[in-house]
Amino acid sequence: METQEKIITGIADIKVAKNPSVIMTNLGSCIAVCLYDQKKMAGGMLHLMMAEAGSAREKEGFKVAKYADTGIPMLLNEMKKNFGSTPADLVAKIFGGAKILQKVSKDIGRENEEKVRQILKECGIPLRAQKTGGEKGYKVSFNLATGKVLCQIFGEQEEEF
Amino acid sequence: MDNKQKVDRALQLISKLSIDKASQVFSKMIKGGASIEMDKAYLADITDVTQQINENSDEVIGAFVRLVGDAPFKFLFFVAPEDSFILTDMILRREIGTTKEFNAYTESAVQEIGNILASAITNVFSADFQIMLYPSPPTVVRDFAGTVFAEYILEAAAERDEVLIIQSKFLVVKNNIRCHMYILPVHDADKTLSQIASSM
Repeated sequence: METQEKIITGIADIKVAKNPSVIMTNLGSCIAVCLYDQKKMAGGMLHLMMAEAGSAREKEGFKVAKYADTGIPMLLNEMKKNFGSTPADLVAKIFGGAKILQKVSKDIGRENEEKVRQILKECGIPLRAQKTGGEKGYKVSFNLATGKVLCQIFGEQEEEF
Repeated sequence: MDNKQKVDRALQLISKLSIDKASQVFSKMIKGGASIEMDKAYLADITDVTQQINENSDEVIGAFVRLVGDAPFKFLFFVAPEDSFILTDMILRREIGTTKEFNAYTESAVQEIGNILASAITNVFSADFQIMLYPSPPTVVRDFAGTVFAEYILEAAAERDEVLIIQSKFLVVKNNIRCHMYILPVHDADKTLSQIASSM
């Protein structure tokens, strides 16, 4: 049995890999977008923080993966560059978008989720599963052998998507 | 010495004094020896620092405090659940082992620790450096370590890709409790730190 490599993503990060690997992260209001190419058993995870880059994209050293509107195209590029995957080969699953600090008036998680759904639709990538919202953190493990994602919301049972 | 080096020096000094003060106040609060040490003050890339913390997906209990005023900062204290139970018993002067699960007492204890430590820090800022700061009421969170830390740096990370983190760890000697404490400058704190540095 092959040993699976564990790959961790941080905020504003993209990781792509092939089987045997598991891409993992923890989320609060951020969203993890998982794209999977079943034929190639390859996938990628974007850990985005905000919906739109706006004027930030003019800054030097701009972090593309921080925003949904620049991070998702970048993830698609990485999938193409590394595995030759096109949007037609891919399915998406999204997780996170919680509102951890209730006193914060802006619901960043919801804004992120809406933007991600919109961009995936524009790119023609089917959204196969999602677990979003709530008030607790998420622990996500994306298995590239199967394309399945194990998702645990803090204090709840782990679920498979 | 250039301005950046001066700011770093000012920050190191403020952090050290703040942590010494917090250590004294905390020891008094629990009537025991607590040693708080500054681990490091560093400029961290938001991706690298959260990737590192995401390697540990254990549960933690923490208190967020917003320090508002001349140089806004955010403060985070967190501890493993089992250690929060011991701290609860110490603060309530009960036999260690009485608290066995997270409850309203644990929440209050963590909130109180957050409040005391953050207040000690604001006192140093105002008494020694004439920086007026006021702590907000602490918000207690119980979640994965990675989630707690990510939400803590979120505001600063929204504005920039590198955040200045003052990291300290402390040990409650008698019970070998390891706690973590972070101080994070936000918004215009850099300007104030720069002013202090140039007057040093």
